Amino acid sequence: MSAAAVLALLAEVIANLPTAITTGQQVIKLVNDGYRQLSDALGDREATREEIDVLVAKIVANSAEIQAIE
Amino acid sequence: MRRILNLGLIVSIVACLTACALLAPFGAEDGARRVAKVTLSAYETTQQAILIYGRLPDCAERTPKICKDKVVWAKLKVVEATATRAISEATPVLNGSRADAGQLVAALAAIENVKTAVQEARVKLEGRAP
Repeated sequence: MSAAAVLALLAEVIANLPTAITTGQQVIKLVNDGYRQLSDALGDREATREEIDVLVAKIVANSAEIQAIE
Repeated sequence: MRRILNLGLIVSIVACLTACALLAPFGAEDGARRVAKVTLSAYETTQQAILIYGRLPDCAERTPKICKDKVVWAKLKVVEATATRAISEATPVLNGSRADAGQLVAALAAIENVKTAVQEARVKLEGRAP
């Protein structure tokens, strides 16, 4: 599975999570699973410039959203 | 729960040691970039988790209310904003268009700070001593 496919899968899972998460353990598990899956997916392959740019853009957008929460 | 916290601590320490081991030697920039790319990708998941938690309207008994404690939530927002700035500054290095002058280490460290803050928030909100 490519890094882009894993990211798409994670995004889909996360989109459906708010009603499913009930404990902090699940958030940490989500994070740890994300690391593991991405490490497995990337392997020895270098991420492309486009993948990095998309990722950074998403992070910046999410950060703005987090900062806007009262 | 103690076992999970211990495991989380061990994972964080291993991640720090791995990052340090890869970033320390001269000529290891490619390896450092790869580690940073994986960490950066995974950080997006961390952010989503923070975002979801910050918005949870449910106050169920076992739900850690990260955003309900103003001090905890303010700290999380500060470290998260710092990490996002560091990631933006490291992006040209990650893309290979600029030599690394410490941006990768700074971004990795900032991301680790967010993870630590999330762990501390969990401990505090669950009523344990840090």
